[in-house]
Amino acid sequence: MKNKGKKFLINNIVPIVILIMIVMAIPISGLSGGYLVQEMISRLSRNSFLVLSLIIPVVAGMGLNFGIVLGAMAGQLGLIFITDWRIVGMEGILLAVLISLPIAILLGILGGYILNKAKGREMITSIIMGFFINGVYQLVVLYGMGNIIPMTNKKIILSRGYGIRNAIDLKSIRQVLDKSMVLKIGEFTIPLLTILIIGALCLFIVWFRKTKLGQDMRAIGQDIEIAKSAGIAVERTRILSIVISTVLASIGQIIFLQNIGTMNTYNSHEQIGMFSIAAILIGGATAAKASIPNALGGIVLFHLMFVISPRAGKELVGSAQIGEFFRVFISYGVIALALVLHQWRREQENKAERKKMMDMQLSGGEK
Amino acid sequence: MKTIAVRAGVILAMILLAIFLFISGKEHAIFLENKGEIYTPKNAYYILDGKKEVKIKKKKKKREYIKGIDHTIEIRFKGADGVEKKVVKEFKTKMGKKITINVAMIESDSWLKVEELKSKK
Repeated sequence: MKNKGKKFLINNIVPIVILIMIVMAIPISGLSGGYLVQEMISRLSRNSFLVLSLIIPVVAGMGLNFGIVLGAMAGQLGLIFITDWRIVGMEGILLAVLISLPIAILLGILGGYILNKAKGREMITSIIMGFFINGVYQLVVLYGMGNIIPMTNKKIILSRGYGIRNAIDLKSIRQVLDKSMVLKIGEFTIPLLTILIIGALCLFIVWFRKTKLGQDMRAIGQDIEIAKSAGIAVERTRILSIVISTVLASIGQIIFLQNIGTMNTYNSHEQIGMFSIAAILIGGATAAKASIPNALGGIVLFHLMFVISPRAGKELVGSAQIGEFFRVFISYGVIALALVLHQWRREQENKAERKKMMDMQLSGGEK
Repeated sequence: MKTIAVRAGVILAMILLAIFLFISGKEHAIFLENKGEIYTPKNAYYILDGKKEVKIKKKKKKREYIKGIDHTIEIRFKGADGVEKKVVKEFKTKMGKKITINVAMIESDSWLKVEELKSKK
């Protein structure tokens, strides 16, 4: 019983610590419960798709896919094109998704191929890959658009005649998804369609894990060598997991930006990987294990910190900036803590495994 | 062979869907003016595609943005005889064309003017 409690504590140390901090900070911040609930509904609908896109690579044993930045860039390219062509409303969002799909698939294949060459170091490789593709993205958007790729909308083109402006107003698709089906419960507004889409993705993930491909990914995640000897096409399956993750991230970025309503052409995608990974880790996921509750719970905890920290900082020390610094410190600290804990847990498991083997050998020898 | 056919079918369906979305979601700017040849009402009111009613004053011009191809416009104004009139017309937008609707001439044939859109160089 004591061991079970200890195990639970070790497994959920990150969400527990964050939860304690939030519980302490809520009364200090002075924010009302109603306000916090509404904020969480809106932030859940905004970020869930992106965070959920991280689950499949974890199942395939590829760790936390910082490469979702690639998908985010594909989504943004779709949004740039629909803004240029002046495609508005739901059609605009769907067309942006359709445009981003092939780009995300290609980037996913490229990412998966590179990550296959760097087995065991996927996370750091995906971070650097994100930087590399970001350079290509900037080249295309800053130089290619208007120069090689024809652009007609002067509002999004830089005054020199080529290159996209730093900020794009997405008023033509702003909150189209969120406002197309709204459920009002008391004082709370729930963007029903977005929530339904997120629900569909959750169902897809649950279903996918039960399919042959999902089971193959699980087998690869558990032991790559055993999976290989069982006849599973390891390399192909790993590439597929990254492709799925990248495609989902591209859709997630479109959902995210339609909610925000403006796009920072050169920065919007950069923080996405870090924020999504921080959220899923805060939810109790590790580099080897992630689930839907981890993702959704993590978003709530992470964004509660987002909302509460500046106010709590202001109330405590008279500066909202201090609270914001604290939140940034916690967000990145949590990633480091989760990765250290993951490594520590792996070592503990290996130690326990070795001890078990030794005991078995010893008892065998005595007999 | 079957896999290739399925993949080609999916790509084709996506291209067709993209074309449909492009046409049905394209935003067009249309111009509305209240300037008749014989009679111009002091104020006219129009409703585009069942949206909010907008007032347009005498000899004024307005720009509106509409989505897709098929549209309806409902115009309400006081005629020369002082009788309130309500006219509903249907029109289509075309890519690369400038559309101007003259609300004062809504009852005549020349209420809709379609011109080639001049591109600025």
